[in-house]
Amino acid sequence: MITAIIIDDEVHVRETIIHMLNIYCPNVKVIGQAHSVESGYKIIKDQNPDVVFLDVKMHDGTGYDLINKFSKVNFRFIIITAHEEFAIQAFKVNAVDYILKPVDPTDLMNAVVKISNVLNNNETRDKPQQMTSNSINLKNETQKLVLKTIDNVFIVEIDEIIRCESQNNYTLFFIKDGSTIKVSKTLKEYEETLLPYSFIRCHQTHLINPKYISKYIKHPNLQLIMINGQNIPVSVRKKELVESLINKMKDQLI
Amino acid sequence: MYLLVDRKKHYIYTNNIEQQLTLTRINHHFIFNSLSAIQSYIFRNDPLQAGKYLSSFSKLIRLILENSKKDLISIDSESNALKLFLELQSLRYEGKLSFSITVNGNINTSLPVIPPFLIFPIIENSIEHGFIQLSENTLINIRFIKNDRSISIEVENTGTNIDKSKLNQIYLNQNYQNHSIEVINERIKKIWEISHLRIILEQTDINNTNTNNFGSIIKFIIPFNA
Repeated sequence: MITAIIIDDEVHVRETIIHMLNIYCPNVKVIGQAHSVESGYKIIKDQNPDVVFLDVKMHDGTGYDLINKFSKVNFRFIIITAHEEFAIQAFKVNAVDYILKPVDPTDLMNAVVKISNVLNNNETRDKPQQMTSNSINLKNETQKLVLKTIDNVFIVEIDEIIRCESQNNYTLFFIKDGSTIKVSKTLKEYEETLLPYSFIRCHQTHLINPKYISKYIKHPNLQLIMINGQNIPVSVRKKELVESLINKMKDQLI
Repeated sequence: MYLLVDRKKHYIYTNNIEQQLTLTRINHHFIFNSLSAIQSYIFRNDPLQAGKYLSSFSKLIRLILENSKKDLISIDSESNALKLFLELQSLRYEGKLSFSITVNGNINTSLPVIPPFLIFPIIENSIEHGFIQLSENTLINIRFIKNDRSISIEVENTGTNIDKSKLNQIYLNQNYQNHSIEVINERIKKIWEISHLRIILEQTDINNTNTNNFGSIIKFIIPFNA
């Protein structure tokens, strides 16, 4: 049984979610509800739920304010909002998922499946994870990255990114499925985000996921061939870094 | 943008894409919030209420789509849209939001005299950032008043019996209506540039410490030659 608390300032939204959980997700037990940041904070502390369904805009603050009140977040949460643009923020504060209002039963069921997976994978729940705003949860293997383009918001698994290439102030992402996504942020910003996932900056304009290297060429120029057949130059200054990485890979089966 | 202004009739033929964009921006969250309120009646097994609000919602969307194309609309049309909008909003905050819409003075309410949805940002703001959670009841009174050479629209928003310790939550960023006034001033400027219709905005704070009623009156004065 997954225990849940619902926090939303509109009573009808809380009721709807309770109704829907009863019908579609009988493994979830609602143990409490609240209508504000202040009362929500209190009830989470008192009840210690597995999951919190959390609204963003409330009258005394936002759902993100509520999360930031905790120095240690030892519960999972799902953001529920009518504002699509809050999705980006949802992943920044490590929400397991987000659901748009009006709530689609399929979205709700998918979110609950994600919650059960996370809870099962992490049996050491009493060891609370340190999660603060903007921090990255390294333990979570399917960590996602939100990429916002002019027309769309893409949510990609970091594991699926083959490489990133700088194009002036844009960054071009090459995804495993063959697609590319162009985002108006510099490669530098993504380097900071992706270095903890063992990405390497092998060249001024290239950031690569070592998982997808298929060949390392030393002559005449230093190059990496990626699994999708693309040649990536390696700058002389990064030669040592790349070679030490490849040496490390030699010793293990990947 | 092509303009042809016939000021006597107050008809302005414009290709006013900007106005349509502003309207879309103002309205898009309420669509999902209203639908989510209607969804709650469906799950509560109350088909009568769900059906009723669904048809109010479609009437309102139809009015928004129709009126967005016009530069001036009638008081009838505007107050109709306001009524539907406020009914749907009060559904979200059961029992905590009351409203009234009145027309004072001898006006032909079917003449196109006011820019569409002019006061909506104030209404939305009163609901989203006003007193709903802090007071016993939030009141929104809208008055259309005929003056000599103008029509004024007053929006009075008060929260009754507000817990004073919580009041600074609202006044934290100066006045809670400031954001919507910014949006409206921008709109008024555009209306002036396009049609030379000069709309004046006045704001009065309500601060009754005896009854613990707080709020504001925002008044729009729109020139009108009858």
